[in-house]
Amino acid sequence: MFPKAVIDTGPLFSVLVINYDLRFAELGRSPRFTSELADELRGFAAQRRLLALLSSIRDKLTTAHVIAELGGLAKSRLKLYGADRIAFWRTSIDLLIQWEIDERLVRLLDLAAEKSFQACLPDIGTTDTALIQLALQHECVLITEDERTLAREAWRQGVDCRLVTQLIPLGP
Amino acid sequence: MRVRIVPVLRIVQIQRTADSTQTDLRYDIVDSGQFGEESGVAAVTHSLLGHEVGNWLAQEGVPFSSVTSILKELSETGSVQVSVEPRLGPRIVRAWFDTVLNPLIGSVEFELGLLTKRNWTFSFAPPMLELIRPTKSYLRSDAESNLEQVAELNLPLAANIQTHDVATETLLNSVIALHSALISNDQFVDLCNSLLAPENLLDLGIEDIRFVFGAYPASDRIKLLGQNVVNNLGELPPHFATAKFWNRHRKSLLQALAYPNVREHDSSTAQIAAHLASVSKTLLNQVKDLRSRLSLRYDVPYVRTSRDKLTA
Repeated sequence: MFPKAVIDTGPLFSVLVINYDLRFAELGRSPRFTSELADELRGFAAQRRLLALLSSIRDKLTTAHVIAELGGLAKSRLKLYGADRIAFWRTSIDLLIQWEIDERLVRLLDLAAEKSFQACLPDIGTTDTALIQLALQHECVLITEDERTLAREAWRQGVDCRLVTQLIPLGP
Repeated sequence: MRVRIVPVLRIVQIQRTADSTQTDLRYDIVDSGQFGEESGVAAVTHSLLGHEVGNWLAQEGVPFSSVTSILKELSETGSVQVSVEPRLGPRIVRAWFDTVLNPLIGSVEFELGLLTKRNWTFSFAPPMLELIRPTKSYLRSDAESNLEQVAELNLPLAANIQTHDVATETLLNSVIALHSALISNDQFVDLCNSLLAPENLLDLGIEDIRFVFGAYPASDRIKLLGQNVVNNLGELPPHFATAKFWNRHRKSLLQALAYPNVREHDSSTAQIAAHLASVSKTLLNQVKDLRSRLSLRYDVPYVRTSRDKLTA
């Protein structure tokens, strides 16, 4: 669907959770984390569509901020420990390697020096501003679940920002 | 982890009361707890009749047959020392259920399922079995002390936990050896290279080997396929880059487990896994039995419902 896209924490975390649950389902354990997903992703078909959609993007870009946030989310929302935590990370890292996720470092100093971000940086934070900057730099789509903060600012800045809720029904 | 096995004793001294007479036999019970009377915390129950001593012992979990012989010895000698179960309360039992017994039951059941499927959940970098691991790894890190307490009070369980943990390590070493034998097997390497040849990939509609392995370096490609083979992996869902290749060639790649110098490791791994499965079944039964006894004795449900939490 998209040759290149910048992916926000929400959709990336969702696919890792879906991927983990899928892997466990193959091993004989029922899905455990469906309740941690956004409402529109509670159904199996929607989950498959999101996986298919993101895996079909040839160049998957994200920022180091997003990768760092994934660790915090796995801890706070999934509350995994021991063998399960290791399995979640191994499965997730395997998928991200296979997807050749392109993790870019966007420096705070560069964002702060950019005139167009001076107003939004303190307001929406480094992670979201960096994602907007990356999408502008690569002239590509930005995919997020966050309509209120990130999407609103991205649209204001002229980024083609797509919400997961809009994309799921269109997925392959 | 090696579980520290230290038997926890609770010694009770029962003796004839000083002013007891032959027509009115009475006894004192000195419950010295875990650390003995020297600790100065012994609880004394005074002046009980013989049948009251019997009731007290029964309440402490002493089997009926032993109670009879203890009372007989008591009437003959005037004093007796009895080892009884350490005293637990519902709060300790609740903590054990939530942090040790319930997680352990779920994990060991899952482990048994993996062993049956011969999916060792092996990953090569670093070499580990992701989901077949020592007991401690199945629990939250802050529950380790509770596991130690359970083990201290239940020696057969502690011994089996050690056997289980040793068996998981043996299985890991065996799977590492199997993977190593496989990826250094010329026949397997030749098979992989031939299946990954550009013309064969083009047959699958794959233009570049990069689209099979993503960002895995070239040096890891055979290792990754070997990992899938060792784990007897089923079909992969399509969102994995390797899915198209693996799903097409899975059957022929899995046959590599029967290659000379590989099959010996494979069958040895299967034997070790069968031993682990047997140990795990015993462990599972022990843990379930302990949970059942504790639940009934201390009136603690296996799982706390939200209603229980509200009334706690």
